[in-house]
Amino acid sequence: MMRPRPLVALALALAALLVVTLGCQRTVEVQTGLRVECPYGHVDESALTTVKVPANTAGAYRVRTERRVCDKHVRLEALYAEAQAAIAAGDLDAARAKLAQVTAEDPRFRSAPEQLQQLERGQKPKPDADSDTPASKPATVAPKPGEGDTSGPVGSLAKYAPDALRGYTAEPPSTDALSLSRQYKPTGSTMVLSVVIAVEQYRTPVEAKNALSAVMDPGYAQDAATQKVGAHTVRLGSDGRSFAAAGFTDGAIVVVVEMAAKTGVDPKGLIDDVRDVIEQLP
Amino acid sequence: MAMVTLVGVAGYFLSTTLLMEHLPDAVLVIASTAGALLVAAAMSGFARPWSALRTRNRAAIGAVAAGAAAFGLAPLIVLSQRASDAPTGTEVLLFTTSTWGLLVCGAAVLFARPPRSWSTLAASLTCGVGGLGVLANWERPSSLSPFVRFPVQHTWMVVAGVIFAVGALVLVRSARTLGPSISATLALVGAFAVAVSSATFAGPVDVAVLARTADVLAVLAVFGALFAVGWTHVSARAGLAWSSVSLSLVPIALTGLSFVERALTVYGPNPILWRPAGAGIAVALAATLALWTQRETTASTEEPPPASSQTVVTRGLLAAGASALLLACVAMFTGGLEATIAGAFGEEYRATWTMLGVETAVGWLALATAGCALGAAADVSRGLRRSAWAGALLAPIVAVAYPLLADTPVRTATRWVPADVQQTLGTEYARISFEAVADPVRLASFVVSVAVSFVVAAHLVRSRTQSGSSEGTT
Repeated sequence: MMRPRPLVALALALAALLVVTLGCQRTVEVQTGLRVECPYGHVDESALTTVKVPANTAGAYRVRTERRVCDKHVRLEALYAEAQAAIAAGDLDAARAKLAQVTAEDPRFRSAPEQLQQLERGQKPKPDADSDTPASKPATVAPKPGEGDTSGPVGSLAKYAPDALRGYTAEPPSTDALSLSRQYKPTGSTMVLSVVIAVEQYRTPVEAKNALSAVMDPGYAQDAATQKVGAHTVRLGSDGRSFAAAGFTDGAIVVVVEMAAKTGVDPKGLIDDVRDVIEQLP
Repeated sequence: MAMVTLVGVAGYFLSTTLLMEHLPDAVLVIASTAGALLVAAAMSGFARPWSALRTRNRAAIGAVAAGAAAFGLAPLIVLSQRASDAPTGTEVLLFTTSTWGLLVCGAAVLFARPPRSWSTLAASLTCGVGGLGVLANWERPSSLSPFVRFPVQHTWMVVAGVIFAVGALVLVRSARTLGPSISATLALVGAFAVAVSSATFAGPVDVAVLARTADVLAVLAVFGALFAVGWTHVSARAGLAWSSVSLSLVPIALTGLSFVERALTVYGPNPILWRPAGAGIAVALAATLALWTQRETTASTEEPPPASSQTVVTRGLLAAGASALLLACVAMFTGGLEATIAGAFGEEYRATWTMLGVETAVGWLALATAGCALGAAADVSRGLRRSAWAGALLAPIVAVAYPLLADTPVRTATRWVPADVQQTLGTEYARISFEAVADPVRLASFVVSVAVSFVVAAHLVRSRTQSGSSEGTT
């Protein structure tokens, strides 16, 4: 026959276990990084990372949102502007080729589909007068001075995106708990439109190597090469259209330098410039 | 009479909620105990209680002390911990009705000599779990988060529940000696004395406010009378296990009021999630039915079963029932729900984590189901056939509610999600969602519990058939 004592003991044990368990730290998956809301309707969450952290630190992780034109649409804006210039100049074949490139990536980009249809019917479309004032201009939110706070854990990544790079001026860095990115603008006349250095912390060197492959293999497979630059084994390449990139791992840290070429410039020609940037990094 | 008491408790909760912001706690307890004292005295007269008290009858003194604790001190403690919405209504209801009901029933079962039916305790737990399922579905995201935002207040409410349970235990013994009417009067004399004493510590009362709220105070007095007098009579006649139902069912009664309001009026959106809340109501009502069937059951009224059935079948059932309970206890600490939070007023916050069984309705449901199965197994081994039937039938009914309550959390707020995110949950800025986690341990607990209950039922049928045929042969 059951007596009260075992039941009371069970209830007390359960209560004690409850207190201990609920008092222990649980693990929480939080997302951190940058989310880009492009005014063309595209949301880029590729820069977001999910990390498992103890609950008591989980409140510190946030997802930052920037409303600006994403990299893809920056490229399409440039192509579109070139197409408008070609239309104005009467070079309709060049205009058709560029508009076809634009619509291949975004079938509803501004007036590109209508203009392409007109060109294919043998008509000359009217150039888009606003092609030089892309949607990015009013929507771009540039980091305010001081916004890129590199104190705290991410501070150890800051050395890979230095304040001074020969031939470039640095923008304030954008930081998250485990990643940092910084844009640079060329100071003189050059084929380079802009440079972005992205630095990210991973748990293990193996994870970092995998992450570097995940960036370089699909994105920069053209003209791919692996070279020793300073102390690093650097992977270089281009996307064959408008970007060249180089990346390396330093332990569990991944550093990627991406360089955008000005319109009409073969990105293969920027690989030396990317290597020059890598040489300036620690 | 139990339903009258239930109306009294529900009305007491509503009246005190209306008045507590305007008047000192002591005034509310004075009003409720004064009303109850008048009704109790009208039923018993003053002469008999006074006579019992003057002879220093132990039961009479016990009744005064019990009333002071149960109807004076315990409500004062609760009122002192309440503010307008802190703790929230769902939390106050959980800690002052469902929890008190379980404490009273637990005390009644554990301190009864010989120990009463374990199915009774399991049914009371089930009734409380049903109430928990209802309260957790009053709105989504739920305002129910025990021991998170107001742990001190919640703890004091549980302490008040223990005081109420002790008072109720002493009072029922007194009522069975002196009669419920005399005991109720004596208990309310004690409660009124505590209330008046507490008034000396309270600040001055605004007479204008008192006049303005006089009608609600009168209503409070009526509900206080229904609660205190009804409680004493029900517990004396049908036992504390049955009277505890009038506490445990308050969340269901108030949900029913909301349903009536929804049916009869054209007020705005109704936040109650009726499907899971309905499952909680069904569980609580099934448990109430089980308690009703046992309201007059005592161990002494039933014959023990033949010795052979105690050694072979019932020991196996006890072992299987204990295994189910053990599995349910383990499942309290395994995954129950996956919670996801996204959004914020400013920078977005996104987090996903696994909630333990103890933080979910199904975790408690598994515990209640296993409790019913083990209770049935324990009762059948003691020859308590009616109790065993109640437990054996209740377990599968409760298990059926599992899929309906599978994604119900019983705790929404946490200490680590940033405050700005938690404040905006349920708005266009932030949302929280829950997805059920199929935990094999919890599922195994349900399966074993239901299997035990079926075997208990089969054993009860077979033993009845055997006893019938043996009677036929003799």
